[in-house]
Amino acid sequence: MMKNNIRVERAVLRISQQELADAVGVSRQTIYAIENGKFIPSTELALKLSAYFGKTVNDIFSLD
Amino acid sequence: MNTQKKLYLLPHRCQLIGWILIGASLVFVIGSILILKNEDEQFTYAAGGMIISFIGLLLAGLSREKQEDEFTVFLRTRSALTAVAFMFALKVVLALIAVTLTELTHLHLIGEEVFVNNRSVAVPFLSLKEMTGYGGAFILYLLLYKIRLARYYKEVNDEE
Repeated sequence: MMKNNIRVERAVLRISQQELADAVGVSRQTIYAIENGKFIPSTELALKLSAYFGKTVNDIFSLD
Repeated sequence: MNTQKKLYLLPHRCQLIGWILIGASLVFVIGSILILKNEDEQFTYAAGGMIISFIGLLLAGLSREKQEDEFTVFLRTRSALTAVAFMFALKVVLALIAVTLTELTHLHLIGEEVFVNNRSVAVPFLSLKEMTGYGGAFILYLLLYKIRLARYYKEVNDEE
């Protein structure tokens, strides 16, 4: 299982799920599903999210 | 992997056309059964309605969402797999039941027609073959996919 701290990073930047979704080119439902652990993003999407936050993939995603 | 390039789906506007066709075919089939007295005419119009419904299902099930991304692909894949597995299992179970009942009751429940008192009651669109075949699996896939997608839309809106 995987966990992530996208919600925390979003709060730091004060952006909404929709804004993050628009920035990385996915739907808001996708961001919601990733934050709640219901969907594991592809490598490409994980890299896009990490790049958006200016962090590495390991900083955002980790194994349980 | 850019899933949008690899997934061949119809344009989003085909979805609405598909649902309209499905609704119209249901009205058509029910209307033909209720209004027409001749069984042959009922069968002809009902079969025609069924074809229209299958076209509608294809349009509704194989067209893009407004925003198609890897999550919708994930939902589609999971729904399709569940539908195929469930329908196959159902087909096996119903076949066993049909064989058992046929032996016990002497009613011919296997195949396209049902015989009652040596009189054929042709119900091809309700036969086991149709319900548990590709048509039934596709209907189940569409239902599962749309229900799951609607659930996530609702959860996102509730969170907001």
